[in-house]
Amino acid sequence: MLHRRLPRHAPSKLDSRYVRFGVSAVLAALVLAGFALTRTDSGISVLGQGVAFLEFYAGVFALVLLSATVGLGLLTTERVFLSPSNRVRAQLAHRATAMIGMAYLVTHITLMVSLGHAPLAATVVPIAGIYVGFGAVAFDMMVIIVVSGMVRGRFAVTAKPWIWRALHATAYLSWPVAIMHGLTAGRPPAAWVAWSYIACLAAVGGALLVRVLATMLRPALQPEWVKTPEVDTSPVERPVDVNAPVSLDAARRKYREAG
Amino acid sequence: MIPHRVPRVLRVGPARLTAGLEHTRRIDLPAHRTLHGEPVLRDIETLIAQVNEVDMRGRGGAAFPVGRKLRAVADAAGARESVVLVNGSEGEPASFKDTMMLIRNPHLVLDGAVLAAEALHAREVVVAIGSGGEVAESSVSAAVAERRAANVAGGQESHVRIRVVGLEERFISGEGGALVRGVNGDLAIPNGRKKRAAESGVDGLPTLLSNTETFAQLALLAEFGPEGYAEYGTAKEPGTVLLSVSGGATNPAVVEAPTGTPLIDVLDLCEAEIGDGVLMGGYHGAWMSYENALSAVISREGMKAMGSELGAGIIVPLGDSTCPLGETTRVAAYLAAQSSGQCGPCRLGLPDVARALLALAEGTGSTDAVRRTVRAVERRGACFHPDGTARFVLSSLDAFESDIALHLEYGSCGRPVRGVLPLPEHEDEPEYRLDVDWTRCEGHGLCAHLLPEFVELDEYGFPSFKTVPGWMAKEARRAVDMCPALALRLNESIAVRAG
Repeated sequence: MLHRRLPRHAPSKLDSRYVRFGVSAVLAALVLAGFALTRTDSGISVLGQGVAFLEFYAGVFALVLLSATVGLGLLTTERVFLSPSNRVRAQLAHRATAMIGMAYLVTHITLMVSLGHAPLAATVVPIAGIYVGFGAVAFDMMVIIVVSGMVRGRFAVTAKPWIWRALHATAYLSWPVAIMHGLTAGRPPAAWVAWSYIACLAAVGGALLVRVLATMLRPALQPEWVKTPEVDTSPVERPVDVNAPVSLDAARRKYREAG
Repeated sequence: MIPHRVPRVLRVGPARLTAGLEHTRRIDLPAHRTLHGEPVLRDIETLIAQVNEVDMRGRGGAAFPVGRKLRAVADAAGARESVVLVNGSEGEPASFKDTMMLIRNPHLVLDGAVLAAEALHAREVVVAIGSGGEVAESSVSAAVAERRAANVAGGQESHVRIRVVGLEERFISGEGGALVRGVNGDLAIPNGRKKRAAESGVDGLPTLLSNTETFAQLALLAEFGPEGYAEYGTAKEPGTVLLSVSGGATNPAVVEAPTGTPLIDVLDLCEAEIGDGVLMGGYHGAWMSYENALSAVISREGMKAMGSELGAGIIVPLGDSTCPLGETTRVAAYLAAQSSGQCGPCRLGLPDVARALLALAEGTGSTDAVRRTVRAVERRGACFHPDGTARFVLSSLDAFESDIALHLEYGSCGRPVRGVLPLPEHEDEPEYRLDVDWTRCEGHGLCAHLLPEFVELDEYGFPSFKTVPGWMAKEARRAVDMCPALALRLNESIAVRAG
């Protein structure tokens, strides 16, 4: 019997009013704690340290996580090494890192604008110099990628799924631009950081090249010819006189002889 | 507001609960006061003494002494507040006496509830009504409004707050614990651990929970006093009772009869043939044979003497034009679907009981197989549902022995299943069909990994699909989202129910 272990009508344990109440209480407590911190001088300094940390590192975290997202996204269709279950896991990890990375990116942009490092318009239009401009361009493309990722299911019913692939593949453009932004716009990176990004670019680029080449070079799938019995073309030999006309008398004689 | 068609009322003997209903579809407040007079409030001790004098029992089926219930609530309440809860949720498809009272005579019920509430100094009266009872709900709401209006106009109605609560109804939502949970805003399913409503009910307060008819009886007792109340009926169980007669009756109706009335009189009044038997006490009850039905008497004692139970007064004569075993199978399948799914033996076992019965009806099963499946569910649940179902099925096996023999011999008894036993309409659940665009599918196999029960991969790694039931739609949608080739689609298709 299908899914007999799963009760059909039992609501999920996580969707009870106690859980909802608890989550809301925790969120409210966090927000209130934030407000409470601003009431004292030491609290403000703690908050300031937090903001300074995020100002310094939010962009780094975003870049690392989104790099992981690109790599995982490429992995999701990898059929040679990964079993179906691992491919499902890769998809889930791809989405998770994308979500967290985007959250850090939004934090990064909000802080940069609110702390006055960049004007508001610079978040979408490259007006604040070429290095910050890289970030703006990468962010614009990322919006397309995120939206296309969220509405992916819609493309399954349309006639043109390649549109989705084209939109989502903008990631392979956006990501190098974002790395450029990360290496150039802020403080000068340590050498090993720069080298590891280059290594990542090379690895993903290589894997992408393999994927594209494999798709392009794969011969068109042809229906298969199955071996059939040989056809004998030699002329058919007919036994002579099978259908020769028989006289009525001869037939009667034969019948009588047979008894 | 009140539709043209309301549950019919017939009567054997005096008019008590149904007084005045022959003239009108619904008795409003002025008519009610004319018929029954102003209620005289009394304190809790007097009330309990009067209730005990006539040995009043709950009319919801369990026949729990009302006096003990009142006493328990009064003790538990002490200085605290309490609540009076009127159980108007009739999960039983064959019972409609409570709905009839709530639609046609709501003020009598409210009078009884208010009487109890005033005696207990209760915070409020809650009337809980199941989802089939929209008309009952609006009738009671209107009755509450009538009382408020009367007070504005200078009347002397009680000021106890009355709240009407609509619940989603299942067969088991009439169970006390489930009802309390429903009123408290939870899912109306029984509690895993028995909680006495008298100690902790609505909002955790001591709650006087009883059936609709019980409160109407309480109002009558207050009106007539113990002597007047006991004028009719047997000495041990005085008064009248409401009976829901349906099934094979030509004239289905709610019948008010004094206890001690012969069952056959009630059946004759409703022009019902006994046929293969009479189901007493609803779908958790038991069948009564033709011979027993001829001599049975309407009372708890009289029914017990015939090996049956009066319960909530549900009487379903079967008639002899329908296949008894087929009817039983339909009801067993319905009962299985009504499990709340909380207790494993009930959720998994009851469908097996229904399957074993179907096999028996088709002549391939055996009574032993049915009994085995019944043993697996008996006394193994939080509420009475598995036990009641077991009693119904076992009683059917005994009552229809000759019919079962025919089924085992020929695969049928030659009679069609006419659907005599009333069941609510089955709502078609949406089903989903997974469709694949074969030109896109590359055999990644993720769908089979995500929906192992509904997708099978052939030896080439390409999927084949089964229909996905509604409760798996979320998982199916995830498979569609995760298909690497964007080849899957999910289409809704209303299931065509066989049979």
